[in-house]
Amino acid sequence: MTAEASPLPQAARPAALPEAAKPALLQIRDLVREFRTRTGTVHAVSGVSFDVWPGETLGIVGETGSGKSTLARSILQAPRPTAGAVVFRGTDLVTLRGARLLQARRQLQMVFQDPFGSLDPKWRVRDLVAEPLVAYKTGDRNARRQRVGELLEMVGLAQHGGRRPRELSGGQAQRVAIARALALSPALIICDEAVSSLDVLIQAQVLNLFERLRAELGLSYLFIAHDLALVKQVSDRVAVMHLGKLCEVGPGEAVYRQPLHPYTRALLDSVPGSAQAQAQARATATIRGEPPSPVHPPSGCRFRTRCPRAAQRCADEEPGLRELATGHSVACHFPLVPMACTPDRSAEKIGETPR
Amino acid sequence: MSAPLPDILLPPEVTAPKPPRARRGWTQTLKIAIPAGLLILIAAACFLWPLVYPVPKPVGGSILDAGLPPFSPGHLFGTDPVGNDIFSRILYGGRVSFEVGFAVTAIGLVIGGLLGMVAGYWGGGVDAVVMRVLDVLIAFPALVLALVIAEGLGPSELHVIWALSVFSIPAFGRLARAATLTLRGQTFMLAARLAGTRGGRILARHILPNIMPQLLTFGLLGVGVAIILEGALSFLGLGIPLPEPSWGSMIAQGQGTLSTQPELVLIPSAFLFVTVVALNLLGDALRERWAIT
Amino acid sequence: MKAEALLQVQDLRVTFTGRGQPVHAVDGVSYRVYAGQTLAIVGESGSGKTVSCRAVMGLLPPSAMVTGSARIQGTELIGLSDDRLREHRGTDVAMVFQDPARSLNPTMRVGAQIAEAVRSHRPVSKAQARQQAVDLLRLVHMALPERRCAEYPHQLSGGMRQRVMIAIALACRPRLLIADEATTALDVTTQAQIMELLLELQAELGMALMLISHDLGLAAAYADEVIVMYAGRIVEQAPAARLFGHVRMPYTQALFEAIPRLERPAHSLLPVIGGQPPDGAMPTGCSFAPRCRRAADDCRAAAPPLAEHEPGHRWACWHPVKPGAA
Repeated sequence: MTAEASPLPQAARPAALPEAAKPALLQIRDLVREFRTRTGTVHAVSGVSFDVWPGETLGIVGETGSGKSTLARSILQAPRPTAGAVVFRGTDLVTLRGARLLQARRQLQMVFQDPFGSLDPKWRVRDLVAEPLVAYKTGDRNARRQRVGELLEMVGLAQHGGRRPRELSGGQAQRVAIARALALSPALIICDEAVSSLDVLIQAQVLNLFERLRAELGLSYLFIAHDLALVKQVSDRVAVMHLGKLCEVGPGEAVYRQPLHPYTRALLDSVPGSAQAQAQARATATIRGEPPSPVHPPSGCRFRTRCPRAAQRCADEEPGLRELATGHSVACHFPLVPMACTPDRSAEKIGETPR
Repeated sequence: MSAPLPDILLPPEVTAPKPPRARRGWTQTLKIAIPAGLLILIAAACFLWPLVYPVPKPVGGSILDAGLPPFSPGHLFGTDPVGNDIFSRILYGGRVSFEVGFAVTAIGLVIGGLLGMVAGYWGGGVDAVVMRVLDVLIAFPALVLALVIAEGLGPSELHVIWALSVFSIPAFGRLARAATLTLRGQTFMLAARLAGTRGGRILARHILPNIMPQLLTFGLLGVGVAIILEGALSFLGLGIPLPEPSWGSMIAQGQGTLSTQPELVLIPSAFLFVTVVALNLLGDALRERWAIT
Repeated sequence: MKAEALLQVQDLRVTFTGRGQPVHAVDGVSYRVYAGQTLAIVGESGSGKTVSCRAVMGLLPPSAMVTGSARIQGTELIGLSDDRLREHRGTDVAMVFQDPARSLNPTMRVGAQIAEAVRSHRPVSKAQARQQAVDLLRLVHMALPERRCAEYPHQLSGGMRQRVMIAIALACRPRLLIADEATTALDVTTQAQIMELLLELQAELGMALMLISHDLGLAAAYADEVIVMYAGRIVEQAPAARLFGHVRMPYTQALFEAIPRLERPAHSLLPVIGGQPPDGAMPTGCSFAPRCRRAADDCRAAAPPLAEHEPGHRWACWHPVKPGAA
């Protein structure tokens, strides 16, 4: 319906990608999702904006309560976000209902965390994979059967069509979910902790499958997880989410080598066995204190209650995402490494010494 | 480490052949087989025996044969004070019990189950309306309602079925609704909606198959309850009109001659008891069998 | 490590006889834990790591058949009656579980639960127990311990609940603390805090610590000694520093390669192992052979024994990975 949403001045635009000239596949603008509960309003997602470009994998890393899963569901309109725009292939999904929403959403699919939870236990594998084809009335029965065969072949489960989910292992069940997600030839797949509940060897199998599908089918992914190493390993760009807001967005290598946000730094330091941790012989917990509640998020910057660099300004004024390096943005008044900034940014914000 | 090995994306699946159905212990099979067998035996006897093997009519016996004890020639269970053959009355009475029991349950399952599923799935206004209607039905005290219906419409098997359905429908409705609500929150429901499946199809292909085991087990227990209620109604004279036999009415009638011919009460009671216990045992065993492991 | 072992497990076997075939969850496991040491047992699901620890604590259901020996300071734990076991649980060995939300009683205040743990082993008055509960919360670095004591579990965050679990476990100063996937359900930042806490407590109280985890990275960072289990057996054991430079067992190597790493470039393809772990039915030969890249006929014919091929480093493989090679 609406044309492509207004380009983001601050969000990272991956200059390195050749497709940067094409319009973004998915454009999220100021997405807000709030829940009303007895104890108050839960601000699960509070104004998140980013783009996903064709052929790229954007990783979103966040801990419990960061709102990343809510973000995923809101993008799919299940349920609709409280506010904001979700422009997929030029159409704002938020404005659509019913059949038109179904059609617009056809090329956007999701793989969930619990491999068994996302499969109806009473159905057989081939029916599960065929479900989107049936729902969208693609082809006749023979064509569908053929397509299901192709899909199962693609995920390495050609012999498993007649089984039920309880006869599958975790990895196999997740591959069925992936086959189902591929049925309608999607452009973008959202992986919501898709490998988090799998054993590490099986996880590696599934990750490789994602990679191969990406190469063969030109898929884009929105890869959501709480494991920073995992996210970085699969993504072109990484976005760090904290308590409903994006802290930092940038190319995976840049975020890893030059984290700009204190929270990103803390996440990196907390990974046991990471290079940083090894440098100190142990992972030091640079974060003290408990995560704030999403019902009463702190004023200004939401990380300030646990941030070692917090100052008065952090409580008074909420930092917005600012691009400090090519394609690398951060939402912080006192980012970690002052970088040369683009001329039209207010230079005095960089390098301001914290308390 | 040297260069990573060539990618083995999905090596030949070290797949176990389809895992054998977990060998259910033979005790569990027996728990299902014995009550089921018993029920089938009794039902078959009630419905088929008179067709195959001639029995004296349950009504209109000769007064000359009154009061015969069990194991009399030609009357396996003896006769009642009016001369009717007890055995044949048991068989025909059993038909009534089974008919009422299963009809009431079937009506409850279909209508109540459907209402409950719809209420549970759509929620909101639909849910509120349906549940209030069911609440009204449940609020009536059972026997009073049966009394009213019997008085109003006259005693007959069909009216008994209507009266008892007033309770089975809300019972199934609540159960189906609760089961649907639980299911609604599952991820595979969201996955189905994202795959594009619409409401009606979701109900039929996703929700119904998953709540069916619960409904069926509940149904089996419900048949037992319905049979007892029918027995009670007939006992009170509100059910099957005399002289048609029903296990309940036979018990009621037999009260008069309890001291002289206790078997007139004991035999129908025993059949009622065995049937209901078998239904309960079968229901329990099936619930165990179908429990999500 | 010349001192007498605090916990000595010898040829522990656990078999579950449910419907169908018996499942050999633990198939002959032997190891030792010394005072003040941190031992990590690493394995995927189905490896038997959790079952073996629960066998030591006597927490398995009656359908489990446990044979073998587990001695804590000389006292045999396997086969002890529940009453006798209770004397050892809490005072000698204590356990912290994975999901604090489910391990704490949601209807009881936190302070009361800790006090209950104290009173179950020591004859103290209610008031004294309550005071000890506050002290314990302070010990585990819980802010405002008095206030926390009066709260219910659902009012606390995951990290705080886990601290409460640790406080309960420490109520009677056990000599050995078993952390069974204690940080798996926590965020990585909270995990770092809790691990730091555990190490601090270990130093302060002189406890031995057993970390059960699927996370090799965690083991590398925090353990002195690491045991790797697969399909109910120990397949490799070595001091942490040595293991991660000199992996021998192909399974350990596969685990190591499969862990996500920050240093890996995006879109790297991982060298993977196909298939999945055996589900309780033990094939003849090495249980990893069906999936192993280096498997040969002798691997399928006979299971390799676990032996100390190099000082301090045990492994069970006919064709171990050469040091320095891929």
